[in-house]
Amino acid sequence: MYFIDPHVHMVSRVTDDYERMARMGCVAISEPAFWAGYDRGSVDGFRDYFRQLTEFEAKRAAGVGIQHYTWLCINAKEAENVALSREVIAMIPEFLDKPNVLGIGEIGLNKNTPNECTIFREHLDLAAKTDELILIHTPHLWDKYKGTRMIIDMIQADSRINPGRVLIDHVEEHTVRLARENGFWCGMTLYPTTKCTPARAADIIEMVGDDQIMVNSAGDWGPSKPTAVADFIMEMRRRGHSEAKIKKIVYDNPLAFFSLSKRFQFTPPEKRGT
Amino acid sequence: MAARAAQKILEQDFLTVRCLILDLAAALDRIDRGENSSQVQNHEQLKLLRGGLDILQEPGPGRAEKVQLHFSDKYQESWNR
Repeated sequence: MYFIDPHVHMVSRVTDDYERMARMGCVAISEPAFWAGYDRGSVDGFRDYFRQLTEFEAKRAAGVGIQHYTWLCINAKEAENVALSREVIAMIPEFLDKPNVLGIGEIGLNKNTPNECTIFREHLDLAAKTDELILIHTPHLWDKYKGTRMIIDMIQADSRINPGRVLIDHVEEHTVRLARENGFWCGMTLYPTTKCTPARAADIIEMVGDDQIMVNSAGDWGPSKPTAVADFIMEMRRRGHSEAKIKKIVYDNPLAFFSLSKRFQFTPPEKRGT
Repeated sequence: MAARAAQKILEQDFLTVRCLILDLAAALDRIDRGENSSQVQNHEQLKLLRGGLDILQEPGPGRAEKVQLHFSDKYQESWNR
């Protein structure tokens, strides 16, 4: 089955991972800007990173037949440096006409601090002014429920933001309904030790349905598995779910959400080479 | 697709769940075998773990969501005003 991984940090992965994903049926990925494992010291550090996301990674993915898309922002972990964050937000428009950019992301909260909220609102403002899609990171562990509610509060306070153009990521059992019932798209992240497992993601689908929801690996430089979407497909098959239902979650839904971006262009695998 | 039969799920998942329970039991034993284990019996994290285990004994469904909320910071409605 063909699938799309809508959230994976391929700058942290080796080319073997791209190849393995392609062999398993991955035809496209989207790569949000994120934390490098250390706080970057200057706006030029981000400019170089955005070049990597919009130029080099797209070529590396194309080498194995995967279409690469990306999202730009300064991650919530670095938002405590408000001055640098504002410099980065001011620089992002330099890259918004690159063909593989889908929007602003992954923005959100990490420890639910006032500075994170300030920078989150300023990212929302940029997305509203430039009519970009938004991809949202929700905090992990203890902070997730509170942070997700705070994020929804801030979005709802900005009347320019249409929830149907926003994806709230890393939802779990206690946050999926918050996102869905307020009109947002959602993503479930399949991680080996934290976030969601393929079995729990399948449980959540069985409980809330398959509309406006997708799964991703969020593979990065930590313990993570870039082939986790394929594991989810296997779990759904093991339970007897139809191929059409699985495809909706791992292929049709990401495609429908990405298609809301004014720049999004995608060649379905069956139309390649024709 | 209609929901799968509970008996089938039970039979398919029995060994996996048994393994998860054993993992939990072994992890708690590991803490008890540790040096000065009596000093952590009232530790906040151990209390939280015990509270999580209590939720497993409640009638379902919804236990996973309750466990998540048990391990979550509280949200204040008026934070944004």
